[in-house]
Amino acid sequence: MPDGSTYAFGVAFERLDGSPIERVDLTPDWEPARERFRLLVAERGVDPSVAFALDPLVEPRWSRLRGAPFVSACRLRADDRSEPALDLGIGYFAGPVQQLSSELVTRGLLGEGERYFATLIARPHARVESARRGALRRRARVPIRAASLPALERRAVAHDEASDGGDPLWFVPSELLEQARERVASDRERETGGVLVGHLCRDPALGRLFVLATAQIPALAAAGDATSLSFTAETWTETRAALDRRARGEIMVGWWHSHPVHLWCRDCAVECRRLCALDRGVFSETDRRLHRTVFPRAFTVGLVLSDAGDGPPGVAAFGWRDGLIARRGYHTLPEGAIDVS
Amino acid sequence: MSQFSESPIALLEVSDVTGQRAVDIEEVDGEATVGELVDRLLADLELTRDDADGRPITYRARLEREGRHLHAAERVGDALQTGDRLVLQPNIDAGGPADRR
Repeated sequence: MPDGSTYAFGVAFERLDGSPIERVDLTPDWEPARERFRLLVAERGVDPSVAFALDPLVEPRWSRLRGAPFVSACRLRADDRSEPALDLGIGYFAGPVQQLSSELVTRGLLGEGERYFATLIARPHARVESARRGALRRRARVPIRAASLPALERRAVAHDEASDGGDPLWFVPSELLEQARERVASDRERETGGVLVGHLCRDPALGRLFVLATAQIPALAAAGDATSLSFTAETWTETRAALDRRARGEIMVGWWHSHPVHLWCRDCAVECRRLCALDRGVFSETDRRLHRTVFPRAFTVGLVLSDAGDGPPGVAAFGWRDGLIARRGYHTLPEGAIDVS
Repeated sequence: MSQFSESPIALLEVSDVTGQRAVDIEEVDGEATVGELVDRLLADLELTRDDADGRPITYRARLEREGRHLHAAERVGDALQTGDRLVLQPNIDAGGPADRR
């Protein structure tokens, strides 16, 4: 992937006494951060076909203590350096840094369990365009509807932690969740799922974006078993066809799938299950990868329905927060609030 | 004059499965295979190449005009026409925690 930066990044690994271990190149996945930036721009009322096609620059913020090449944060901004700007903390790089440190352990440069300092570093380099035959023009199709946020909030019930950090609020009709639960109940021996469709909305008075899911399209062609669900090319073709048949101007705003926890945990003691996070909903590494691959837009959400076997499946929502996938809140709308047929 | 030796395809639209990301390509080498074209388009659409285990994700190219998936070995010049629309569709898994597999 093009790295979208005029800087090359790396990590300086040092022992606790400050002695160097090694400097390792790092190629961050900037796309989730870029998407967060695009959402910020769209929230300001910029035409979404422009906002969601932006290719912001990534610039390091040098460490006040150590100066260049040591980096304390990164800033994303438009080519013309206009507002807004998005600051990324070092936490954005935690996953890849941990992976690099594991490689140092494998190579014997770090001891197993040895503590170390890892500092982001950067140096200028020429922006490399991908080798391409023929000119290319990027287009973004993310329509935004004008709608009243307070009108929805008044009727909604909040679930899980309140959405903060500027994440768009997410509204799901109760009937939609009920449809998903019924589908889970119809085959509890394997994972099942679907695609969430709806609208990205903006309240012009408040200047805030939010998402209104309006339907779920079951992934009938997805093959599931007890621990996986395969979204194939045919699944996407069917989903697209169903969306086109609806002809309501909806877009894909996320996805859902089930975890048959009652199968995974059937041999576990009751006390273990009481403490187990699986009952409360988890987003596995494969779930995260699917979300990154298919739903990189910063407003998208993945719902997990955990079927623990002791009642209706619990629902947990996961979405993007400052370029990382995290558990997030959502709001349910009462039955009949919107048409979910 | 074209930079390609023969049979270039002009103006192709390629999108991801959500349809929210698309690229217009003004010219494509007709001698390339569909597999080679898809490989190059992954970068243009900022699509991920590997799954959670580091294995390559398989993408299929659906040709909207014919309503079919193209084979990776097909020659672009044989399969595509000017103005065609392609959708890149991944075969990708979701699922439970890895240690449960």
